[in-house]
Amino acid sequence: MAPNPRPETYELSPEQNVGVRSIGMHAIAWGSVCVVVAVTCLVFAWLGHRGKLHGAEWRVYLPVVLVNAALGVNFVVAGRDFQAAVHRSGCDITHVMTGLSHLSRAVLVQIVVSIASIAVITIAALLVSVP
Amino acid sequence: MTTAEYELTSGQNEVVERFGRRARMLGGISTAGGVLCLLTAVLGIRLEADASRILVFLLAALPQLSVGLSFLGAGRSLVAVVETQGHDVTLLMDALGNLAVALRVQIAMTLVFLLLVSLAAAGLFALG
Repeated sequence: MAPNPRPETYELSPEQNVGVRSIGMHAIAWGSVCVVVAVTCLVFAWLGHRGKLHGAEWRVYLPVVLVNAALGVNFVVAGRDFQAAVHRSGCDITHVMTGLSHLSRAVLVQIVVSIASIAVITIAALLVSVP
Repeated sequence: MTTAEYELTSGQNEVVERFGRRARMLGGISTAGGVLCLLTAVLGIRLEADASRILVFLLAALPQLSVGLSFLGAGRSLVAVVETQGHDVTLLMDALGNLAVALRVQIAMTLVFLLLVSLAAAGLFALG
């Protein structure tokens, strides 16, 4: 049986590099979308706080800013780790693992947000339905 | 002597397994949300509810189902990396491919949503 290659010396094949580059690009793109949403909501919150946005409570935007900033940063950092695995020689597996850790953190944020959203919607529905 | 495909260490397996479990959980939540929206739309059709409300639920169901199923697939592939012996890197690449699909769907749906919101805002602005 062939020995297990060392993680520092194992290089991904060209086909594997294509897959890793693809996930890296998608993670950076999605992270950028989240950052843009966070910045837009921050601008709305600031305008609302200054009284320049009628009919909107500015505090409503703050959780959206925080969640999207956390998602955006983690996805962009993960994407950069995947890109590093493609562009740098050596430590390919280490870079992929670091990227997976950041993606895992971003997915955890998405899970928490999904559960919190379900809880908020359920509570709101109950409050509306109770006379 | 042939060069073996890299076998993940126990620490790396732990990272992959944790991520796999989280991806499956997120996929499960998203799929459940999509099914719920779909059922609400079907119920709306049966009760002859307002067509625009039915359309909203149908539009909400599609991205949730597609993202959910992609994350479920990615999670399954990631857990397979840990549970099977050999071909770790190949299986990991399959999982990353599924994740890329999930992210692509999320990006596309967000862009479509932003486009619809912009069109609605432009329509309201034109009417007002």
